[in-house]
Amino acid sequence: MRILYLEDEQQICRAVTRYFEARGHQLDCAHDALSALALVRRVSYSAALVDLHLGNGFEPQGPEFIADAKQIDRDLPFIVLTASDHAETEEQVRTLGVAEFLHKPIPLGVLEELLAARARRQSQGGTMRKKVLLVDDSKTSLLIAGSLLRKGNYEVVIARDGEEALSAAARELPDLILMDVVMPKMDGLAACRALRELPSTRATPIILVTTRGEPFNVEAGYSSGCSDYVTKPVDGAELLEKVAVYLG
Amino acid sequence: MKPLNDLVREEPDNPLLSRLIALEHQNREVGQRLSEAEERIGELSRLHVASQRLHGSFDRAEVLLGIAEIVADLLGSEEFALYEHQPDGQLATAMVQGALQPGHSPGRRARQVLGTGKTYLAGRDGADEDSNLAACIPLILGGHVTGVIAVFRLLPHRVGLASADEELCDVLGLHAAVALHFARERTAA
Repeated sequence: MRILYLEDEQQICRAVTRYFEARGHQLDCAHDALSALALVRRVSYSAALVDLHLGNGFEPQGPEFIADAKQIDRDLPFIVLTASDHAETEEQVRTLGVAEFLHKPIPLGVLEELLAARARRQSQGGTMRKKVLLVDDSKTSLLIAGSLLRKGNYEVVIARDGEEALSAAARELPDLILMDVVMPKMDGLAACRALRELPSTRATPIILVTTRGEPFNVEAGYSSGCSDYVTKPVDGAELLEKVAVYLG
Repeated sequence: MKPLNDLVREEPDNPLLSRLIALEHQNREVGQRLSEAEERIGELSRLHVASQRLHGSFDRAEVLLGIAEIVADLLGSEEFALYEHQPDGQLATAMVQGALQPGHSPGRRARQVLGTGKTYLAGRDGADEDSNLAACIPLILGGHVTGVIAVFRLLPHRVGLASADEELCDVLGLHAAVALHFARERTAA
């Protein structure tokens, strides 16, 4: 595996690099976030190890690096290395969709297992299934669209209103969002606008599902920042075609 | 590369070209059948979801919500009503959606469907001049009509109901009646 390692302490960096290179991995060390971002732009990494708090005073810090790196490589998995007293920052990083955390001093054996598991998943899955966030308050629509998308080999994550959609999108970082317009708490148009404000979902394709196909309503959808729309009742073939346009 | 038809004209006796044409024809037929099969799977999946939704709960409000979702999301209407026979023989409005008033009463056509138990579809059975019904679906339990779902207006982009919608109406009429019956029994118990 070729792994990016963002760590400001050069001594730790060297030790960890030696450990993993002895086990057949290639580690590219970066000592500040800007250098790490430059590497992400150039190289396709299997994973990124990120020290959350860079003590050298360079900006941006780990969380900002993760947010920016996700804009460059949406599929790059992160393993975050942090001190145990940084729960608040950890929470901030979790909202970016990072699920794997290790507390310093780095448990190299555990880290090795995490990387090995990730390598196994990547080789078994070949290409990772694309993730679709499905947002609708109607159980019937969720059943229909969910079944269609799963048949199309997409991973499906569900939210039942606009507010849930915002937190699910930040947590799951879907490759595409399929969202109903009329929903309680926060409707699809407002959720679409809010998603476009978030760095992690600014570029995520959003397909609105609307009961209204008239030009006025379609225009309102595009103004909110959606990428495309389908009308209810959803035509399965049309939906899968539109999803495929964005996800390939 | 020359089109296949030109090659055949140049070499009408070439057996490989004849075989190629036959294979192309077969390929088109298989493609067509695959497309039809996928469409049918989509229709059956819709029926499965409808029955799954209706039988997912014994709670009457949830069953009514399921019926409303099926009419809105699968048939494509935001203006509909459900009328049910009460134990005393009276007809009561169980649910109205859209611009209809809660006290909205069924029109002549809906009363006719209550009597005959046969689904009315505007495209198939002629226009309903009385109340502009797009469809009227009888709720049938044990051979008896227990109520009707009157669908007054389809969404503007829906041109009409197709034969697959007719199947959905049949499933809705039968399964909604059963689901409402069991919800009532559960409440009574």
